[in-house]
Amino acid sequence: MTRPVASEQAVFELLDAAATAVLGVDATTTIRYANPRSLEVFGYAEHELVGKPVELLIPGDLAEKHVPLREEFWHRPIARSLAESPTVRGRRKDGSEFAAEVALTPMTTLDGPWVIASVLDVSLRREAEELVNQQGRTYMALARLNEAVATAPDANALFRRVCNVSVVYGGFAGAWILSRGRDSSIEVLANAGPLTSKLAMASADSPSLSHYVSAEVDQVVEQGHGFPTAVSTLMTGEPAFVDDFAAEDTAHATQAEAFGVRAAAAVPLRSRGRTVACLGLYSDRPRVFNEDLRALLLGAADTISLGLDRFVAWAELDSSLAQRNDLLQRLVDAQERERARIAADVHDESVQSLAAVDLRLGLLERRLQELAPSLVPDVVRIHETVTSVSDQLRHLLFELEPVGPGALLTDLLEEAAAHVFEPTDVDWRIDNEPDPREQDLSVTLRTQAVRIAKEAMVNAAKHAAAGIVTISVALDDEGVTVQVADDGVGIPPGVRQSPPGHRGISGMRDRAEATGGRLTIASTAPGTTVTVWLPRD
Amino acid sequence: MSIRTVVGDDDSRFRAAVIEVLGADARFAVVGEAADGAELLNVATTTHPDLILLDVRMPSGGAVAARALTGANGDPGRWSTRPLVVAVSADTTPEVVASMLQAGAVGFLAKGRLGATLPDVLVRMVEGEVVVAVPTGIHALRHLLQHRREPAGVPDGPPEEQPEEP
Repeated sequence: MTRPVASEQAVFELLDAAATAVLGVDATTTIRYANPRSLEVFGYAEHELVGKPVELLIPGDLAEKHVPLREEFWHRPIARSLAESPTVRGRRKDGSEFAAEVALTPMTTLDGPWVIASVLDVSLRREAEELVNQQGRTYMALARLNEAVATAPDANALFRRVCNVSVVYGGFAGAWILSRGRDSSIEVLANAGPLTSKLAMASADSPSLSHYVSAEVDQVVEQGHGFPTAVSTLMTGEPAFVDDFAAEDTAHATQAEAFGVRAAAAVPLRSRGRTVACLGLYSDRPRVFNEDLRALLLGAADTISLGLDRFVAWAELDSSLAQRNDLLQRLVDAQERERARIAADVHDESVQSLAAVDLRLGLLERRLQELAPSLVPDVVRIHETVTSVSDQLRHLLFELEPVGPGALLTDLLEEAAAHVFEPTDVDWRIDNEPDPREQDLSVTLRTQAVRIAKEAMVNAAKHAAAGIVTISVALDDEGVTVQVADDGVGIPPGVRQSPPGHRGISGMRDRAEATGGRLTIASTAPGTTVTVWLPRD
Repeated sequence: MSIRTVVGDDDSRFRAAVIEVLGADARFAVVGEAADGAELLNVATTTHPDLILLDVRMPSGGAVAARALTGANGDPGRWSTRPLVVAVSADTTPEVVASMLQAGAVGFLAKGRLGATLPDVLVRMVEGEVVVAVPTGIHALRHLLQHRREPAGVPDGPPEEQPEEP
């Protein structure tokens, strides 16, 4: 089907009524026709446009580029739809510009070849798109920021990531984290962005500019070095904004403009309510820190501050844990030294004296057998008492003895079991052969392992009514596990928390934790299994 | 003929008590005493005793002294006849007892549990019996049988106090 041929006059009548700006341009690029809508869009009267070159409607810097494009079009006139149009700019009579898309249709007229140009003002649409883009970037930046706060291992890592996020997702020219150093100097904790390198280069040959990031506070304030927002925030703890340096007439503003900085913002970063640093942001566009962005930045600063608080809390927890362990370790060491001292005293004094008394009583007994046999039973009774005291002292001695250097843990536990269970009916056994690697275990570790296991054995002997106690030692790459298992009555609920005056179980636990280990007690009926794992040094 | 005995112990009260007990018994003749391992070795090589009471915990005493006295250290020394060594200690842990038996002691007596029987027990040892008169004796023997290896870290005493050969 062929279209009906309209007269030229009919076509132009149609274009006159079009809602789009339409221009007719001939091969000499002279505007030959402008519809009423185009006069509105460009702000000209009809006689001001018709007969003028089309470059009148193109901004100066683009007009030059337009010439070869125009010639190419006339060389091969092909229609171009709006969809194919690049975004170009149009110039109104008052000099203002707008984003436009232009469709081109070649047309043969009685007057020769023309091109019909339909011009669409897309500036509103562009702005809307730009806004959406910007919001997308903002949310992306906030998401990245939250991620950084959640995952950064320490404050410095967090600061670096905040700067990077600000530049990459926030589109800022520069981002700094600054804090007040000693002597009121300003310290750079982290930075990112093209402005950083510009300033670094500039400060080499312009000493005053080096003050931007490393100035004394007084210099920045009084002499106008650097950009004042960050310093102001560091000093007052309040956020600070500059909308447009171009609108200010200060030394600060002159310097900022020299580096293409138009707007600046600084928000305080707090830890425990105290301003410890500030995030300084710099943009090459004026008035970017509008109400919305300010609110977002303050929110972001709060989020970062929460992160900082968390690092402080971690550090405090770590240090109090370290202090506790250090204290426990020293307590245990002191206890061992005290035990060794008492053991030496008991051995050198009481045990030796009693051993001598034991011998002399024996001698007395033999003499009385001949001289006064009726007195012998009295002496024997005394002797029995002495022997019993002597036995108790030997036990005490063993309890107190420091763990000998070089002895294998399994052998030490065997000795301990022999002593603990000697006066009982408990049948005990060591479940493993000594492991040669036990030789490498430190004296501290062996001491703790033996003391803990011995406590467990004493509990089994005293409270568990155990028939069989099994003791085992197992080494792994990081440490050693000692287990004392009995078949007794188990531990009544609640005792595991050590009732007042009972240090037994918590004592074992303290010993285990002092050396960085852990203690578990499994009480099943029948039986109790105490397992302690201690790390090698 | 009485049993020539040397008493090695760093505690003078205990040493005196032993000497008095053995002195009151016609079967014994105490021929020397010493307060540390080096002195004991000296006294032993000059007095040629039949029996030595050796304190495990006195300086340079214990297993090192026992090995030197019994020849378990491989040193032939200048002995016509080796004395019998009887270990005496308040420390009766199985490993200590085992280490002394390994060093050649023929007996182990617990201080404080000797009583009236000391002379009789010693005579039995001289007659060839091995007497481990400690409550942990069974574990010491088990220990010896299970660990047929050079004992690691037996209380040898500090190395700088190694007894010198006379």
